[in-house]
Amino acid sequence: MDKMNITSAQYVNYLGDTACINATIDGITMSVPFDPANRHYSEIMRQVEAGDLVIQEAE
Amino acid sequence: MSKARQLADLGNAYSDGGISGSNLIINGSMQCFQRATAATTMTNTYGAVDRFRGFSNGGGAFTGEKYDMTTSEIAATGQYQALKMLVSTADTSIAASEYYSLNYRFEGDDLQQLKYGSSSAQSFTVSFWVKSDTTGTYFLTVDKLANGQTAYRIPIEYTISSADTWEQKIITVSPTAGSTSLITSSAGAIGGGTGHGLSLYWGFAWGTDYHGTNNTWSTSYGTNATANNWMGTVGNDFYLTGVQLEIGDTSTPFEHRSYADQLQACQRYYSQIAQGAGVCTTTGTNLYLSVKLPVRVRAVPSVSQTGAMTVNDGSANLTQSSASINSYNEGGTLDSLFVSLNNFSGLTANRPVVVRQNTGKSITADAEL
Repeated sequence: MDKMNITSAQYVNYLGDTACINATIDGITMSVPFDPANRHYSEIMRQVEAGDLVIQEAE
Repeated sequence: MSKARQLADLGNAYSDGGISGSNLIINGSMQCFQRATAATTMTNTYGAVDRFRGFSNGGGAFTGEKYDMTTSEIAATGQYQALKMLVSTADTSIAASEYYSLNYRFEGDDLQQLKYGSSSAQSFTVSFWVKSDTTGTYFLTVDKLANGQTAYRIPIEYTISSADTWEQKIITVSPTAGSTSLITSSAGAIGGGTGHGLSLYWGFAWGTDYHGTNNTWSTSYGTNATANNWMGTVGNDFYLTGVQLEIGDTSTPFEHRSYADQLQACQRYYSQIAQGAGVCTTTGTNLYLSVKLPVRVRAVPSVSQTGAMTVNDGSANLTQSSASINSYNEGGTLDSLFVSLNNFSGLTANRPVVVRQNTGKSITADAEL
């Protein structure tokens, strides 16, 4: 019941490692950490698993 | 001083709201509006006020903003600020799957003293001041989230009797309301740890998919009887302040806290940082910045910016062409941020910089539930 509107999501690299996901969620551009306790990250992963969202590879 | 005198003094302090620690709600006095004070959308998201969010699904929309109480309103409620909500897009026909509410979320660990999931489960009492131009029956819903068990909810009706008049509502929630044993069974335990364990909803409209029975634990959020559709008309208002949740079946005077205390409590979930210092990278377009957070946060926060920020490298001010930030929170620290601010031009490689005081422009750290 708590679905967020995620219109973009892309991995970001730092020093050769994937460091975070930059996403636009409910109209706000934000950088989301890989923390299951973070509500944005958990919703991104929920939508990915549901097939509703694809995270773009890092540039 | 005699024991009798000490007890009498203690009783007076209790009556005056001087006993601290009883209110489990953060920002119930609506003192903190870190995101904004003007009208901001709250449609299924956090808006202006701290800790309280819109929770909705439907074509309607509503806003929230800071409201300064008049002297007579302070005299009536004991509160100097309130959350003012307005319907900005009406929904005159609530479909079965639609709902609109104001939502407050607790960490599971913060409510373990309720002893849910056992025969020792405790009652709790919610009190709040409310004012609306739309009188009628509303309901407050308690939602005990599943977290590996079962989600149980209880909607409890209350009435706003007089239009545009502050009224205090006091609602006691029994763990066995409706002669149920859902909460006292093992599946009634509150889980979630530092995650979302329990919610309160001030309901504005719930579709028939969610209707249950007044004051009875079940899996339903709302009631179907006489509840208002507050969302039915643009401009309908709903003011809320003085929200308190305390263990037991008795409402005591509101526990007032200083602004500093409330702000610190709110910053566990959300904060804004306007200054800092870092170093330019070799690219000349971005800089790395380590920022100490005001308090230890609940989870590794998402970061964003409220606008393009300006830095100074000792010789010039340089401003981002547009806001852009990346979070590199290595190791998952809850005490600080490590970020890059991007979209600069003209930065000198490897030169230290300071992020200037950027009025109205900040880095935000969001660890909300």
